[in-house]
Amino acid sequence: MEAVKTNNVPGRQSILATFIEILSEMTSDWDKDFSGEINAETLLVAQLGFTSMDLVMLVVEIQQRYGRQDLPFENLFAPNGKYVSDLRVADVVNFLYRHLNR
Amino acid sequence: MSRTVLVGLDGATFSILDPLMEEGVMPFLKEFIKRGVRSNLLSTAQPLTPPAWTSLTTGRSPGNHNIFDFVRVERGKEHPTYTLATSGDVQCETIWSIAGRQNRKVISLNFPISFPPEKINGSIVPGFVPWRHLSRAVHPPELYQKLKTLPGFDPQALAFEWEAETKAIQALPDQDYEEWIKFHIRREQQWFEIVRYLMTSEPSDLTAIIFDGVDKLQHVCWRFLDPNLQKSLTTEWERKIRALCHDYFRQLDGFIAEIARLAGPDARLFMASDHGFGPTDQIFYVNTWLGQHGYLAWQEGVEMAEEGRLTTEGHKSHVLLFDWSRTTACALTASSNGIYIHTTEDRTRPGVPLAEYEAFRQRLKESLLAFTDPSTHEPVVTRAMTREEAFPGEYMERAPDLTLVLRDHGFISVLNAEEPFKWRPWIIGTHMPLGIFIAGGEGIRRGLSLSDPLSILDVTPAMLYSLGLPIPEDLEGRFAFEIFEPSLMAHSPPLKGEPTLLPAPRRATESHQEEKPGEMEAEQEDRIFERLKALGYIE
Repeated sequence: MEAVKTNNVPGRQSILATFIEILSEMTSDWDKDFSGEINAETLLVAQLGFTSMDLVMLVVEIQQRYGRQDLPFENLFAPNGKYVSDLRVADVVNFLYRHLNR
Repeated sequence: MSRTVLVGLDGATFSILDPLMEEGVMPFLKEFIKRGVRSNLLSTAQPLTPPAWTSLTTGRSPGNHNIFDFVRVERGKEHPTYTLATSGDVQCETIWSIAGRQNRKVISLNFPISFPPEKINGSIVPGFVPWRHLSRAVHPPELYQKLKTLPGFDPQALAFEWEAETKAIQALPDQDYEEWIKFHIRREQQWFEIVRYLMTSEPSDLTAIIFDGVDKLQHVCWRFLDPNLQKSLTTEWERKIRALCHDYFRQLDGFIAEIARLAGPDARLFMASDHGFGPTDQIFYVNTWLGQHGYLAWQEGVEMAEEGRLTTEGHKSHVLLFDWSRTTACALTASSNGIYIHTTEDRTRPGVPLAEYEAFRQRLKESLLAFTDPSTHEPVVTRAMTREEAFPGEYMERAPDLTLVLRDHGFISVLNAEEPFKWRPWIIGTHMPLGIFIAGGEGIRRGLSLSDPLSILDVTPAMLYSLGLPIPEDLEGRFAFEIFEPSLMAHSPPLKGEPTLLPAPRRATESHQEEKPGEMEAEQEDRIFERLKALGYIE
């Protein structure tokens, strides 16, 4: 997969679409209970079945996709130093929107 | 050109293999070495799987290929952060690419830092990829569907589970040893079935596979394998575990024999390890030491380490263990044995001012070297290498500021502990600088044991020569002429070749940077002008 690094600032909708595409590709052959469409409210752990290692792989995928290796993911996974138990798709999109545009 | 095969034996050391060969556990290897060449193989400055295998597959040192650890550290303004290192971080061309672009077909199986896979002329199944991600990790993509048709194919048995494996090599309860060994016997069977399938269905000029259970068993089961510790094995259970370890190595010997048979009588077979192995019985809690000496402050509530553990559970970032307003130096991972100094360009922010970096690092180094084990009064840190010493090269500044060599070559712990130094309850295995190199087959000298070690950087030139390819002039290793028959070299002299190419992502980045903004704008203006002219808007 090719990085889509560009001088254009990605909008929130574009990030959401890209992120849903990443999640769909990543989880397509996972044995999971979730059968609906992934949207902004979908939970990565409770619904898509992400483990902590899957989140590590997700970071790799996002870095590859956007050609950015400097995104402070600990701010997403552990705001205020404490790890969150789950994340909505929208949480990740908001994080990316904030940091991809810096 | 002869068909060339590389069997990687992760962490293999002659101090274990020689007794196994003598005891009849590895008869093929014993005969193969008699008919070939053997040598010790000097690993990278920090003898660790990702930098060492990447050096072996690029012929370049870590300061140039940019892989120093399992993770890539970014030095942020607030504090450093890290994420998993990937193939995108490798800044030098791999042998898969060098051979592939010169019309050599390649099979690469289970090599670390090869995810996402390169688009090479051949097949890649990367190592260190969790099973749920394996289907999109192979090249070509359709290969995974073919693998799924192999009898007994089980991605869960094949792939790497970070949490289980990193936990096991730190502290494994007695009741889990048997399953641990059997798990690796099953896993190697999976990898062997893949290499057998590919060697049969898509014979390649270069076939390379790593069997990494050698490393995993030696970490946990060192006391059952080390000939010097055999007298301490007195119980039935201990003898059973030792016998199971032998089962693993017996199976491995059979796999190597079958790979050699599949390669054919005219092939050349190379075997190498990324580092050696030896015993460790102590733990240096380096961050505890740094805390006691005023370099580091722990976040409130950070717990003390469980016995034997070196890292936190799960994939929690160690960055969160520290109070960065009061931390100037810390170890982020146990595997790198590295200390990162948090520098700042702004004197109003926490960190070491850049102007004071050299003096700060020297003071820290001297202080670490002066630390002694309270029971023996011997130094715990025998060497503290600066990055200039350990990792010279284009990417040196991404390496740890100091890389520690401990008295017994053990890994540091990044966790908090009551005291910075502790003895382990029992001996486990740790990485050592001297691994193994073995070669045999058409044109390889027979019955030769080299007295001086080869370098891990020397393997790529040897394999390229074996493939009938020129040796790029920017490889850092030397051509190990002494392992080849003089008659072969007279017939096919080694040739020096053009420098390697940059990896594809770096080529893209650099060509993008080379386009100066002014030129791009001018080009765009010209194109717009031409278009407007064509449309009749201007003349």
